[in-house]
Amino acid sequence: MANIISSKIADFVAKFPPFNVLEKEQIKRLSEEAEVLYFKKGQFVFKQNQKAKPFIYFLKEGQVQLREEVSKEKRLVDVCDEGELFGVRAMLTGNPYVFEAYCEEESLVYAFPLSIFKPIVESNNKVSLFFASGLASGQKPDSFNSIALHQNSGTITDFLSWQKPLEELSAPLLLVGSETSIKSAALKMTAKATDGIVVIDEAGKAKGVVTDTDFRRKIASGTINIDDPVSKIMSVNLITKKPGLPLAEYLLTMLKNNIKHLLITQEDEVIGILNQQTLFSQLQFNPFSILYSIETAESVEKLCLNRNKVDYFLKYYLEQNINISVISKLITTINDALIKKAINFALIELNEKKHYQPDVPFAWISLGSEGREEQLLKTDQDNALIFGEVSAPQLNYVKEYFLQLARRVNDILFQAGFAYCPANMMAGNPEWCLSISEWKNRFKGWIHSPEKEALLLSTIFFDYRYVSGDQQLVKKLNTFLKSEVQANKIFLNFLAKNATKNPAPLSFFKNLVVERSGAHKEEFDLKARALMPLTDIARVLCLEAGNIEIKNTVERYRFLANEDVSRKELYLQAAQAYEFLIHFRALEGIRNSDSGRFIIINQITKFDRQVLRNSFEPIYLLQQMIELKFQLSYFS
Amino acid sequence: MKFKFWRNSGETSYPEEIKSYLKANKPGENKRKQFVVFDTESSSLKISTAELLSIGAVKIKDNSISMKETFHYFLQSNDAGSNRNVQIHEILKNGKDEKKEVEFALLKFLEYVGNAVLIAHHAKHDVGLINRYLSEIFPGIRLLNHVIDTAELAIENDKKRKPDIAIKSENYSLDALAEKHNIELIERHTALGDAFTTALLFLKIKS
Repeated sequence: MANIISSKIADFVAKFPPFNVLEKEQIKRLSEEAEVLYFKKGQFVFKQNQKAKPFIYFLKEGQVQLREEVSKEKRLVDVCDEGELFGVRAMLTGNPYVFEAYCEEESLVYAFPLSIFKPIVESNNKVSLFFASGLASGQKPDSFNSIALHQNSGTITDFLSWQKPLEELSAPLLLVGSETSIKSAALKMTAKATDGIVVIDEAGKAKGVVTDTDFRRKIASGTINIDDPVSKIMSVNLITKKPGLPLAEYLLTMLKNNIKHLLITQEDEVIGILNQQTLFSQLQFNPFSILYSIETAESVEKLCLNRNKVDYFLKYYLEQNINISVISKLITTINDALIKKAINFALIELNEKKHYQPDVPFAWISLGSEGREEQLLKTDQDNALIFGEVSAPQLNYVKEYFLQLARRVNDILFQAGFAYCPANMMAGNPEWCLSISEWKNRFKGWIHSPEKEALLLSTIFFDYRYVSGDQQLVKKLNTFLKSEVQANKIFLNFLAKNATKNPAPLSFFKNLVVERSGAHKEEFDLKARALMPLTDIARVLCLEAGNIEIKNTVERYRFLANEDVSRKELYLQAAQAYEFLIHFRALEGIRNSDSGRFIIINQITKFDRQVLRNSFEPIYLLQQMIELKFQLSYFS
Repeated sequence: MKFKFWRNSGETSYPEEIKSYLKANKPGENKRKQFVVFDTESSSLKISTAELLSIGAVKIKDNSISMKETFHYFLQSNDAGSNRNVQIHEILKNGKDEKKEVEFALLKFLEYVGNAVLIAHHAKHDVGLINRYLSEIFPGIRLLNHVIDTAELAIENDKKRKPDIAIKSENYSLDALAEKHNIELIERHTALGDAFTTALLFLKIKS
């Protein structure tokens, strides 16, 4: 019987997954059959090996710990947060409980009968996916994999290649014979919600096109009867194109011929119809058109207009769940193009001012997140410049030239929206505009005396990446860094120690649960507590493995997974966690118009909290691992 | 249907519901460990004249409250439409909830209660009111169950903890105790909502 209590239960659970995807009627039924259970602190909802009860449990208030007893030791498996389901494995398998559900605080639990809940799970794909992805409590450790798999379902090719867009971009294709009446053609178009129809002859070859415009011009004027054949009003000036051409090509054809529709044909057969509006809207999102306008920009002002466009497609791609590595590659490509163009403008300006370039090669490098190709949102500049070997008397003159160059580039990048680095780690700073041998000395100094400052600089500068100029200079630096690290392995212990200084935030959500009644509205530092530990660990492990070339954190973990099969699972999990975290950070950043670094936990969805928590797991495991590997407990 | 003719007749002419209620509550009958938490809404606090407006109740078995077995009846009342009560109780005369005959509701209530232990907040009022109605309609019948008053229970608990405590009645209202024990109030001033709140309070303070 529906009553005020069960409707309160329904209102409450409807906010949490998987109930948020259920029909109202289903939630109502579940609530009407629910039982409200109360447990004092220290009691059990169920015990390990106990026969499964015919309920699934939902934590309304309090805290429930799922624990497993292994050889007399109780091991904490998971902490249920308010709004989470537990007793899921027993539901799915019908086997006795594999964990005990212990009430760490007094708890209020809703029990929903499986006789109603299970059929809902089985009939609803989204709910099945929820359980398949391991989002409910106590379903780890493979939970993260399935999320990541699900996330990768859309790929960049969907948006850039031709094959798929034909289906997506083409208006519904309607073909009619030339004897069809105007009236029935119009009805068909309305039914399919399309604004163009293709008239074909008996052989199936296109004879003409009828569009909304034709109806307006030719029918509304009253000169033609709507029962006349459609061939009377069709446009016979047909423009057709093959599939597989760049979108811009189709658009230009339409503009040139002053038409709004274009037929796509393959061996005379019509396979699609494109309209101008759809193409325009697609093109706006296209990173390649942004790239094109960067490369063809005639002035600094025009160049600077372009970076802002990136945020539009970034948001779109993030929301479409496009693989984050692909998105960051695209953005890196665009940023690099912008830097290259900025360097060009700066070189030209210096030349015009009779500041002639000395006969010394140089290379522009990006550092930190930009170096690792992980910069999605616009953040601070981190860059440096390497120039070739020069004799001592020449050094000042050459350095002065490259400083002039670098400062101009820094200024242009600033105009394009990249803030100056507050710590002044920019090529325009004489500290970071150095000859190759000066760089080698710097690196050597950090490696030989790894003090706090040196370690901090290493974590930024060792992620350098070639952007423009003479690549040989960067290769020389690579060779040097590799041999220097291999010869001074103790340095890696310092770097490893540094990577564990921020403990994994695993206990964070537990605290949140405990302190829910207080005004605990602290923000969570996603960068320092989750992203940086993962980045730092990947770096030290790759340096140890002798790989200097890979800078990207996800690629570093993938490389490590191939190198060390025994830890393959963990490394792949770390790669996925990292992808999720930067995706999450970028979305949060766009949502709040900031860097996305600080997360207000109360404001993110339950779903995201659960996935976040799962993504912290590999951090904890990795930190434990490198403490052993580098014997950090004996090391201070 | 009128029951006036029972006034002078023996027990045997009571309706079936009453007979089984009496049987279940015979002294020495096995008491099952079951609780019925209930609340009444009435037009005043005076038992002798108050109109019974609604009864709400929930059952507790093994610390579990089942949504399938809740009890909520709205009663016919001449007084229910007066402004004061509309404000307090949100029960309108001829309101959307179909009001049952008082007799029917009382019989259903006795059937629902059986031999469970009765729990109410400030139980004197609720038990007294039900008993008045029972004696008016079914002379000789009153509630026979063991009764626990959650307000009394809370006071006892506090005295056990601190024997010299000064008891202030305003600290033992349902609202005050619910707040003290972090119980979310739902639908205050509906009999079922208050019964549910009282049930959670009982679960939290019973030893």
